[in-house]
Amino acid sequence: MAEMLLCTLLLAATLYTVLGGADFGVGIIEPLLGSEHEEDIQSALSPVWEANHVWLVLVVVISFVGFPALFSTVCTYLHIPLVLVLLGIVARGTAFTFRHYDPAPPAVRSWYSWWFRAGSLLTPLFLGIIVAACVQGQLDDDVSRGFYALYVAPWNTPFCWLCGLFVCALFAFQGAALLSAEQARRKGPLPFLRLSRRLHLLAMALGGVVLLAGYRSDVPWLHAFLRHPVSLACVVLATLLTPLVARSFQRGWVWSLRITVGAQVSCVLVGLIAADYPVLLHMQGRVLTLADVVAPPATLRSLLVTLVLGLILIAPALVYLLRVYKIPSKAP
Amino acid sequence: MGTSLGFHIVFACIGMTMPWLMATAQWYYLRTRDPVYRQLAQAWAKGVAVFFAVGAVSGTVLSLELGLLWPKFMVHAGPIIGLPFSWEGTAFFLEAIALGLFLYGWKRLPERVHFASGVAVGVCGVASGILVVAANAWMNSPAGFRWQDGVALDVDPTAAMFNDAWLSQALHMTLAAFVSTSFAAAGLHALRLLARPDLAFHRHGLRIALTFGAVCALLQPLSGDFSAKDVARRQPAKLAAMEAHYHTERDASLVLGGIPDDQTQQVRYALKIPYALSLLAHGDPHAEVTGLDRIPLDERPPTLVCHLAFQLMVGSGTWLALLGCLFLYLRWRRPAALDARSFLRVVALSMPLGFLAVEAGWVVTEVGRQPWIIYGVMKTRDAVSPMPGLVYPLVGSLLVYAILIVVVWLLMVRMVRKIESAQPEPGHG
Repeated sequence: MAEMLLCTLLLAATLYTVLGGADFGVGIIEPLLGSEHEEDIQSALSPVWEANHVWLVLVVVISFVGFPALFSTVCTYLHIPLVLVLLGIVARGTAFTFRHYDPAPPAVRSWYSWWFRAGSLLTPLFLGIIVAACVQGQLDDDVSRGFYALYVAPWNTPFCWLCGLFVCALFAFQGAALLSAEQARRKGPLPFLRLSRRLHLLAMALGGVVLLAGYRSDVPWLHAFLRHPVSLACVVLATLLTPLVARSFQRGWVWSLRITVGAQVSCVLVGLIAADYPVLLHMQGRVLTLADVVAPPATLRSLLVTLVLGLILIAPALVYLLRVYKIPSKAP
Repeated sequence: MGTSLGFHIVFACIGMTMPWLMATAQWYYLRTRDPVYRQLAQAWAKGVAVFFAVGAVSGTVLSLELGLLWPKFMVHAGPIIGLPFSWEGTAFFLEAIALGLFLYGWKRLPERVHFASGVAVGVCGVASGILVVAANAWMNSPAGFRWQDGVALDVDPTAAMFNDAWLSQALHMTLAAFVSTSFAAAGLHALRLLARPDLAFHRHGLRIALTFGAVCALLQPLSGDFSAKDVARRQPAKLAAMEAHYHTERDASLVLGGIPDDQTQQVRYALKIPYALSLLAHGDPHAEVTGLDRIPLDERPPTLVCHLAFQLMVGSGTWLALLGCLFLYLRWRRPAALDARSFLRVVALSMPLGFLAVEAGWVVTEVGRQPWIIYGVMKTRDAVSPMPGLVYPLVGSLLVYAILIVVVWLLMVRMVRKIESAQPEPGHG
């Protein structure tokens, strides 16, 4: 049952990375586009960003209900990057909405815009840092070592920062792909396609750099990662998907692009977990395994029932929403 | 945490209530085809969108902040009260979808589907509010587990969700959300009517909002009484603190106003109504009411804060209920008086009272539970994060919220101005 819940958690995280990630990515690339695209951005995000954001809420809820010890450890020792993620979420969401609804003078609007862009960058940067810090295994609970060693040092490493940048590039690429899709739907030509291809290359390059940095700084997880058959299979699978991504680009198949990218992301996540399974979190001198952090069975049962029932309620509504706004239709 | 919750509660209330106002206006429009109602529905929908966005992000902040500030609380509480939170996630998801459909579907959706999505926003909003309150009620009335040597055993999430306090708290909070938001919206319309008495837009808005507000404000004392009896039974310390009731006695009298003094155990400058406390707390004028003297010194909540907050809540609530009565009477017998400037002034001045009551009520329920975070099980100081310097993120979040409130306020002002400038000027057109 715990494994099922872990899979759900991974699924929610993947969906957030793909759907929510694209929304953040749009904010990251907005400064590159110029203000004439503000309308495009608005119409691409506004009906769906809140629904996309909920996947993150789902990740948070599943982890504190299902894996409370993991949640509280991460919350305690990665307090600072988590607060910065939240700051980014608040800034991005509010500024985006305000910009749309506020009939404000241009000065205020440009404030909103920068607020939106900064928030869009801050959140993925620190999300990447958090994931990297969990992988890196330098979290420490020895109180005698002082504030810096406990609460800053475990994530303030080149590996973590690179990982944060990688997530930014990944999100930015998805954002560009999303905008291309919107353009294709309305006008035909695809001016964002070149940008998204470049960002794709950048993301892949950064991914390579992250692996290299991890290897050089002896991240224990990475060694396990390179040895475990499932993880290697995931890597191979993700690589095999790359030509499909390229082909989707060529043809401008945006949905297949998003699905393949999603598949790649989930490969990476599954690979990460599988490498050291059942260990979920490495800390200095000890590990947290699935059995250490999992909630009592009654809780897991009720959580799973809720998730299934919730999915039954949500799925038709979500499909309807996406059909109304995101599937090409004959314009009235 | 306190500041975040105090901030979120306002936006959550608005998020629970505004969709209902919006859907009602849309319903009137569908029935009468009067374009003013449509404008009203659209204007309120914009308000809903803004507040929903702020509520969504501040809610996300909260869900993580539970872990950031009270990691040890969450280790135990997460599995037990996870059920309402996961349902809340579902409700919130549906609300986001329905809102997306309503806000951007004015032209794309069939009218009925569109209206239904507006109602769905309201239903989901109220549902998620109730679910979160159920989780809070569990902190006041822990259930669904057995506490042994610092570990929770035999966890039963369903029992935890339907704990003894959830019904009374959910009822009280839902009504409070409707009262506060409706009166705030009505106050805003009244304020603008004082400047522009000609706008039908504001007149319609005032009537719809006040009707909601008045009905709920009249129901609220009943639910308050239900809550009080519940608290008297389950949390005598909280009741004693909010009523500033120091000495256990029969025939206890109700203390109105005044400043409680813990040193002398007296309440200065207060008005006392004999037998009333016994009657209100236990339904019998001679019943014994537990005073603070029965509570160990280190388990007493701060009396002054609880008592004053409680008085503030009841005072504002009573005032709004009276105002609601007046409105219903005028609407029934003298509709013309609803446009009188004096009436509008009173409504405008009462604008913040509902939210004042909500905040005060929240202070009562949270501070009244101190020093416990889970009543009778875990103390707040044992749950707090070990990270030093927690005060900095707290001050930081306070600052962010202050900025957000100012920005939202300025935004509302500009939105109202824009809507008004789009209205036809009678006598000029």
